[in-house]
Amino acid sequence: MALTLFPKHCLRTLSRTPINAMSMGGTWIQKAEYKNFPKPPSYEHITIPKERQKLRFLEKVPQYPPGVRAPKMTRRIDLIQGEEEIQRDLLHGQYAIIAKRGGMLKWGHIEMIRMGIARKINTKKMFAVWRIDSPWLPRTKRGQGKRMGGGKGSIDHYVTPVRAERIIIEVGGKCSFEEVYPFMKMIAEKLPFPAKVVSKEMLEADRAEEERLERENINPFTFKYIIQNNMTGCQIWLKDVDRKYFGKYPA
Amino acid sequence: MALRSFGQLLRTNFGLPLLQTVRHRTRIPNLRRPAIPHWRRAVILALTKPQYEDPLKDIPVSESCQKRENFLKKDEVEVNQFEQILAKEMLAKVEESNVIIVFHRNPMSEPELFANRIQLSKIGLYYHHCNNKIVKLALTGTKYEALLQLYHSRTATFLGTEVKIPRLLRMMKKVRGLVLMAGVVEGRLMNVTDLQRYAALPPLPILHGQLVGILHRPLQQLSQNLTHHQTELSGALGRYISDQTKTSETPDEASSGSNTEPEVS
Repeated sequence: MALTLFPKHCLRTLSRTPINAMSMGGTWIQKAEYKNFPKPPSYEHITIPKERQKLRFLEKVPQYPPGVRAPKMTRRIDLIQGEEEIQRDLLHGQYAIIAKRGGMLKWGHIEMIRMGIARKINTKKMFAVWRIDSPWLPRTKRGQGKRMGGGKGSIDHYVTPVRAERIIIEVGGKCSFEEVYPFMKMIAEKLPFPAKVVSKEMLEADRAEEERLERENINPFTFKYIIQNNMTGCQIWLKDVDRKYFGKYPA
Repeated sequence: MALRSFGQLLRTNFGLPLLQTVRHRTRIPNLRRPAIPHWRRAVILALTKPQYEDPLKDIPVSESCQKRENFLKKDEVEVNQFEQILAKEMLAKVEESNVIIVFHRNPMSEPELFANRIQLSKIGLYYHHCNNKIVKLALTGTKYEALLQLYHSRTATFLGTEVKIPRLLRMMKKVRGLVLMAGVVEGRLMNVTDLQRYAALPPLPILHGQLVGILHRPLQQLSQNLTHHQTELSGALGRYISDQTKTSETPDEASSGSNTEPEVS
């Protein structure tokens, strides 16, 4: 690339400008200009922890006190439904992976996240923290080919339930969004639910945009309004989920 | 096994008991292949789709046109800090130099330009690396703003402290590819004709002498006018005397040749 021929301090970019600016369809000449490298942001207020910058290991199986048998639980789909209300904001105020829909994270997914971060993170500049628990919800499985009956199946594995708008991991440090985005995007795409890589500004902008869309809707009929007023006899076919979350995260 | 609520008196279950038990199995929703909603639900979803006012509703096309917006945005140039630094440096150099020569630079290779630079360095003119954008940033708002008229096409700027214009004009024959356009010599913008006239000027002491002469001339004229008659008279008398001595001398010389005293008639 021709740019490598120029000295480092004056990297030039080629631009095209019309000879006669007034005529819209004028001839073009190429000229080299100085690339604008804007001043990098200051990270002086950010402190990186001296040790354990990478994600800690999360146990596959929760530890119960001795003598306690591992309890079996019901499916608990309610833990996935709807929107996260508590763990939805950034604690470190930089970058994070946020779930856009609910799902169950298995230990495999958790390891994938942990290894992905461990390989790509620059421990001198960045650190990462978990924002979810290690797997605790037991999932039972009856043996393959077994008939119905004989009680509930035995515990096969554990999962972590995650609701929509839940922060999965947070990454911070003396780094820009462009530096962390590639590997975080890679991790986000491999999660079992749609997830997004956000920075503080992006998250605030998205939330503000959502509020604006809700506010500026001129359609007097919203799903919520129809449910609450039982219009068109919708209470017949409505699910319990709809009565709670008003169709915001369907299926 | 879930129970259906039996508060419904709609009687869709005609012929069936009021209380029925139904087996549901909760399923984790499949996000990759979402369930197609039932017709009734789909109708409600279509009905409740959010609608928004057209943001360009009352704005005339002359203001909302995107092409116009883009054209106006072209004038907004983001400030390049590096270019600002270069502009500052250039202005400092321009202000401390006595001579600024601006050439039109024809397309030439770097070795050719270097050869020209060697030639011009002999008269103390040194090439300044810059482009038209930097020059515009540097000189806009200063006393050198008039120079910006020259910086439209390919240019080469040479700065120096020694003023050697006659040598520069003679060197233009050797310098290939650089066309002299104008210069700023000792704070004065000059085009090529002005530079030639400047070069033809005699040295400063002579000009000083000329100026002194010009200043002295009225006084001289006045004294001349005052003593005009006296000088004329003395001159005329002198001429008359010389005429008389010549006439008295010539007949005596012819007769005797020894009598030198003139006879006064």
